[in-house]
Amino acid sequence: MTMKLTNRLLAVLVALALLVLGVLVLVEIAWVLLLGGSTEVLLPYTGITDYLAGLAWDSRPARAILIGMVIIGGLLLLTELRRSRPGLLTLASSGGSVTVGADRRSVEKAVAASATDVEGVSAAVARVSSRKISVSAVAGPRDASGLREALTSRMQSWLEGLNLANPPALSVRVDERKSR
Amino acid sequence: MTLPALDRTPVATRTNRAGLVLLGLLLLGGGLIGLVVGFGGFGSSNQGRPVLDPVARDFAATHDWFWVAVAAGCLVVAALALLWLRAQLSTDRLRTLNLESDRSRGATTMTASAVERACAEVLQARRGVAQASAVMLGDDYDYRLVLSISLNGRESLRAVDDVVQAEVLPQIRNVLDSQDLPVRIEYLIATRVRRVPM
Repeated sequence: MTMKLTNRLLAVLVALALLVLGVLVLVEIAWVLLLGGSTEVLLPYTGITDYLAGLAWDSRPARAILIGMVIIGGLLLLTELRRSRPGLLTLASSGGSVTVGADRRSVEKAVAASATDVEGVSAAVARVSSRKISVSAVAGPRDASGLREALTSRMQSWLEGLNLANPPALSVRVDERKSR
Repeated sequence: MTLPALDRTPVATRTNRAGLVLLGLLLLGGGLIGLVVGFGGFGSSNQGRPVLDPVARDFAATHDWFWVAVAAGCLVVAALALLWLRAQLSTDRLRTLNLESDRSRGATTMTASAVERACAEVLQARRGVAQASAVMLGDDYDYRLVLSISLNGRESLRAVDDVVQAEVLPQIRNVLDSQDLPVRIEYLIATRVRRVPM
């Protein structure tokens, strides 16, 4: 959702910039070619062209601008082409013209909450992707032996209750640092 | 099996992605080519040349058709930018439902928001449901219903889903006289049991 909003804001800014720039250049060209004008109307193009005419390809400012272009372009491509995580985990009750799913984020929160219900777990975080459900738990101050097995069993039965169409693999990790 | 998050503005999402990928490619490509020139990749004689070459400047100054071509390019860019901005206003959300499939018999319509409100009320009255909303997407003759249901943790997801599919969906389909209406149901699972207001 945040990504979609960021994309939308960025798209509006870029589109507005292109629109304004396109119209300004058109006005300048029409002013000179059609109306015989010899000075700038709105766009200070003389200053820009003079600056570019004095800027060598191997100069520091040119390299800084070009590196900036590469970084911004690369970041844009990376973020736009990154595969997004699923929004919905399909349930087995889907069929025909009905698609049923559980919201991924709510599953993450509920899995984490269910994990903290296990005795000996003081905190837990869950991450759900299309292939894997990872649960990272922090053991409490007591003896943590057998905690991973207990947690795995609890998570497995919780996920079975969810009735997912293709349940992702479950991975449980217990951090025992605090229990020592 | 997974599904992407529901997108009520698919045209805007696709257009924004395509536009920003194109911008990214232009910036990356232009920047890399410029750096290669600056580091002597196209010959050491070019590396110290100005970014705006005097030869190109003279050519532009003496050929009017060049500026006509630039103006045409600007016009295309401005028109595309305007279309890009317009795409932000597009939505897949349905405003009215056409209940009469035979146009020769006239037109019977119903506002989609009325159906959406009714669906939400019916769902919210069910046990195990904390909150519900409905939205109709598509166009007059090809629409689908999306139900978002937040559970309160008092009933299992399976129990709520059984009731929704066995009782609520047939009711909605009967009202809309569309037995094969495509429906997407999204459940938001409760983290803790929520109190039901008395």
